[in-house]
Amino acid sequence: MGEIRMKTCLTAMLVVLAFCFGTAGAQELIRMDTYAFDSTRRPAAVFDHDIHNEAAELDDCAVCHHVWENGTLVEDESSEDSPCSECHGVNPTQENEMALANAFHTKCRSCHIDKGAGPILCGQCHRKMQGGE
Amino acid sequence: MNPTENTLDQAVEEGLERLTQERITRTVNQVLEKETGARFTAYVETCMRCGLCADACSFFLSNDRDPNRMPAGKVKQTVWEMLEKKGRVSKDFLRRAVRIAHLECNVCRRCSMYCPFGIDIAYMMLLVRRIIHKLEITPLYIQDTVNSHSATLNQMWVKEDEWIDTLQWQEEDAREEFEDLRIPLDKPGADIMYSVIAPEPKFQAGLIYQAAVIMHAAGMNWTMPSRPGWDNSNMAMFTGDNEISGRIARAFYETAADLNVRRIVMGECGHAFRSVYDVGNRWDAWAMPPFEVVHALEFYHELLTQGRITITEKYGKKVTLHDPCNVSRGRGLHDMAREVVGMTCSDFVEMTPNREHNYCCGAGGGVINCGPPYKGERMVNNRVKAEQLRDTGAQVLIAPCHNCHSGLEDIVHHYELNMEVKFLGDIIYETMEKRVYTPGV
Amino acid sequence: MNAFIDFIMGPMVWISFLIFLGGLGYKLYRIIHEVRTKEGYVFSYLTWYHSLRSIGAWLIPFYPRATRQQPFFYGASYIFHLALFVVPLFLSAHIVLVEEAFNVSWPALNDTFADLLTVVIIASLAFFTGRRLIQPEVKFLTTAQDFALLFIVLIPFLTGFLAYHQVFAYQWMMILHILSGEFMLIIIPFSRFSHMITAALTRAYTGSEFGNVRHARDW
Repeated sequence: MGEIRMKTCLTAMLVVLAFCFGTAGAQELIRMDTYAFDSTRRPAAVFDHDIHNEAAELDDCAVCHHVWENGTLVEDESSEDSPCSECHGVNPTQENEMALANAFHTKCRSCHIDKGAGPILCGQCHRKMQGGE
Repeated sequence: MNPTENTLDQAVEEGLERLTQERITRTVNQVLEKETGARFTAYVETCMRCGLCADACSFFLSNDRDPNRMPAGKVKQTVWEMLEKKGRVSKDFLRRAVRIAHLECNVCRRCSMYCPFGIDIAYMMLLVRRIIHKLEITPLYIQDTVNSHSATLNQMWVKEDEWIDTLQWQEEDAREEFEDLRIPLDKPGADIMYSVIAPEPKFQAGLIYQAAVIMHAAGMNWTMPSRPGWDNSNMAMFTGDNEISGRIARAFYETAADLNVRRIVMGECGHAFRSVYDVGNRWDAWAMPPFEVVHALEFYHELLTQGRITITEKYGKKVTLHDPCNVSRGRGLHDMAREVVGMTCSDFVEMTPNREHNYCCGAGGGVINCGPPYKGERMVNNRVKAEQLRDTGAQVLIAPCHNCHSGLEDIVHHYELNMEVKFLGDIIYETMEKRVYTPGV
Repeated sequence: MNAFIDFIMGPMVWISFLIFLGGLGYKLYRIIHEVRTKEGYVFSYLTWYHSLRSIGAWLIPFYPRATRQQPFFYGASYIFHLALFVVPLFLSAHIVLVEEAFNVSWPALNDTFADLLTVVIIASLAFFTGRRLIQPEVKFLTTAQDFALLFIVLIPFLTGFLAYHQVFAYQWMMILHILSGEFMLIIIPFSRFSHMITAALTRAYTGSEFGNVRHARDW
């Protein structure tokens, strides 16, 4: 009865799962460095700095590597020499409420939405680890 | 004209012939739109069609789990279709509706306890009966009792002089046991008005005798009314004739008010209790009854615990107890009933399920009152009750309710259960010490 | 495409929640209003104590006798309903979106556990569908609408599951996930899904009639 149908359904799901985990990826993906995080929930975001900037025609580092002081954006200054985690803690702090992961999400997604290009859905950046990775 | 699978009794069939489509549609819509509100809408719209109510229903269980007889199945075949067709239902549909609402539902409310949402399906079955009443296709026998209520204010065409005569006859007989016993008529300011249902004077007068003996022995200040209003039964409540139902309850309370009694004690009847404790008062705009209404069961408990009645020797046969819906699910008296049985009987065995979860006797809710034409199908529908009774292995079945009593007698005979069906009053009368209570002795 | 996805992940979420909450609120208002005008007696019997007593008794797994008679169904049903709320509300991916929009967050479920619960939800839905197809008394009551309701619940969870595992057509799976989730929210006040509030009302009234008038339990 109901149990039989449930079993069929579960089997079907297991087949699907086996399929998706079993597929080996051919090419290596370049991903973000996640050393600042103790642990990660998702695979690191796929991001190749140079390819991205070329495609996005980005020359100004400060678009991403910004500098904020006392709650305002400092014009004409960039921060590419320091890691993001220097200002953005893994958890929100008194000085900076914008936590690290949230900073990435906000920065990337809002720009992709504004420009109408680039990934904006979770799995489009946090792509599943391929077999070789 | 005997009912068959495709026809019902004379009153229903002739009633159906008289109906026009226009009247059917108008009546159905009038009841469903004007006489209901958000409560009904919520019941219809909340039901998730999960089928869990099925296990609650003795009709479903007695008929090999036939979905046609499960609670929500009955609603589907009546109310849902009436709503879907906007009242444009056929005569065949109505004939089926009469069978479902009047013969295949005891309005016992057990299903409210099996529906996870507590949907009151009995309420919807009573709505269907209301429509049936307004279309004048109520089954013959039960309609006759309503006619009697309407004309005489009692259920069984008992005439006023016959009533008084019966009481005096019982008083005279009981005087052989207690020489100064009285059945006081119309005694103003008495503590208790004792009331019974019309079948008692009609053919079970011995019950009035027993009650008089118990009252007398307990030294109660009691009275019985001589005028119409003495009958606490109410079949109109079960046919959806709310107007008559309200009239009956009103006459009853007015009788008690005129006698200026402190409270009303009633005999062992379930549906009558439902009428005067729960339903009839509502039509008369009393949220709760205007008098304290005490069911016999509760009254016996009081007499026994206060020592007004003493038991000489406990009843020895193996007894079991049937919980009547209208005093267990209807008033929570089931534990008290067990205490009374414990105080009067030495060998008690439970039937399961019990208390609020009891199965209806199969006769209640006006089903038995639809009369002999339907006794055969009633017996088929009562199979699960019969099995429950048989499993107890008891010799005596105590049923503190008239409807249950009659229905269970039928079951016991039909299924050859070899059980004696008794009222609690029978047991008390048999086992009590026959002396008048005097305080301090 | 990004603009469309942004719309369904932004304004459309607002619209869905507005219709969902507003619709239920309006429904509740209508019911109370109609009871007040037409069935005032309901308030003569309704008590907080007996209402909450009955609702409470029915929320405790396997406390009511009826639930013990159908252990498999009620087991599935309890877990299903619990997961139905817990998974969407405590899914890390959802919380991240809320954090991004409002900079507020709350503890999230472990992703693997949430994934497992999703499988349980899908399996429960399969079980409910099976019952409707096979068990005579349920089949008797079932109409196409009942399957539609099961389907409406299934889609957001199934697509969520497939999207999480990035099995195929990720972007479309996500779009379907978002839209079907919003559709489910929107349809709640207009369908029998509104039992999420009306069931409490019917239970409360029956609980009050049983407890307050009849001095009996209804579980």
